[in-house]
Amino acid sequence: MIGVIDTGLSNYNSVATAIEKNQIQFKRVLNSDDLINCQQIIFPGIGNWDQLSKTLDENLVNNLKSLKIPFLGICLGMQFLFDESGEGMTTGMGVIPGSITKLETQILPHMGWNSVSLLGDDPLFSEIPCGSDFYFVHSYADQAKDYSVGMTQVDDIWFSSVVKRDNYYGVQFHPERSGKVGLQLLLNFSRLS
Amino acid sequence: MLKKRVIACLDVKDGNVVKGIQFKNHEVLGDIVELAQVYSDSGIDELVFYDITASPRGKVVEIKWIEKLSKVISIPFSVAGGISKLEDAEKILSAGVEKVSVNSMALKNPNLITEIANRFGYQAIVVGIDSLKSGDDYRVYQMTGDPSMTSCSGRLTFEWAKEAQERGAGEIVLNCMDQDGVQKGFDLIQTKRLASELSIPVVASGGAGTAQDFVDIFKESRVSGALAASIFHREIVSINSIKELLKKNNIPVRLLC
Repeated sequence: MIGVIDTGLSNYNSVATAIEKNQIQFKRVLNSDDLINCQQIIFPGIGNWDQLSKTLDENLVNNLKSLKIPFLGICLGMQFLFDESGEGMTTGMGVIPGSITKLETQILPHMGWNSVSLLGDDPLFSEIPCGSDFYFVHSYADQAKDYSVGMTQVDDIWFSSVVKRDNYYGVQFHPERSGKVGLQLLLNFSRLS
Repeated sequence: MLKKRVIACLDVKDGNVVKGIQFKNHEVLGDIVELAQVYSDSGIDELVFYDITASPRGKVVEIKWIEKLSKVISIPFSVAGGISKLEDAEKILSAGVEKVSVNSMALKNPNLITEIANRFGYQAIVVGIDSLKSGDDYRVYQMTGDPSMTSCSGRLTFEWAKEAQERGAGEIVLNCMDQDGVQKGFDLIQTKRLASELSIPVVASGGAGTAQDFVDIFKESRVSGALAASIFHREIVSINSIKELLKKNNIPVRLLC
């Protein structure tokens, strides 16, 4: 059973629908009690950093920080794994050290399909053809790349499109909107333990 | 590298996909969910659903077809039509849509752009601009879904686009009405100028007739995407042939593996 966090602001429905397409069981997570019986957690995020942290249940965030099960943050949900962001004043979960910073590209947001260069084999990308494109929409990113397992280029800037630390994964793109390869990634995640 | 997007627009009227010439004489092309599925499987990068009757009728797009769509497609899509207040946007976004697109209603109330951007983020708000040449300049038209209600808003296209960007729009779709539905190619001059003056993504719309038109717009301007409707619906050009030609011309595109 995958728990999908519903912040009220996020693209919960898109992610839930994508998981349904893979015929994986899931449940909506609104608070800490909902974490019971979950084998994996997905944290979809979209929108603004401060709005997200204002909406999240404080107790839930504290519990999320000490999880031992596979966790996948998507887009803003990935950024929220870090300590802080240039986009907002509030702190993130801090399970990955570092700061999220604004991309200095000609055109912002970085919106559209882009490829991911993996730094090595990763079970999350099992059966996904090398060079596959995923759908991105964001203006901020992890540019320190200390915990990067996959990187993406826009203009001449490289940022982390996939990060990993212990049981915490983050993807900057939206697997739920990345067609077949995105659905495969979610399926791969559901098989992690 | 970021790929250039090839986008299909599906004009929706009463749950069906329709297409007219220069916004007039709409003809039914098929069921919305079935067509969405076909496009999604064909390698299109993004879909836009535009309820052309919502704004002129004073209604918002119907949530039930959005929910149906969200269950069948797994690529990004946006919805447009009659979104006049924050609550309309909220309803649509929570039904599983990435972006809402505003047009006539934002002309009436520009603050709508700011409100949606502040609440849901700039990435959730697209501003559609229907532009027509007027003397030496370009002007914005409104209520273009219904020919009997279409009128010039008085605003200049470039000024309005810049205002929309400042107000928090995440993307501009520039629809050049002189070109719409006539398949003579995108308006290169107007689109190139707008894309060079903005720092948010611009999508070209109106006039695509051949795969070469897509090559031209991506070579001539820095648009992030190019949108078409009738050539896809009538199967004049396949999405794959456009992508192949773009690739041959060294324009980065997403090819299905």
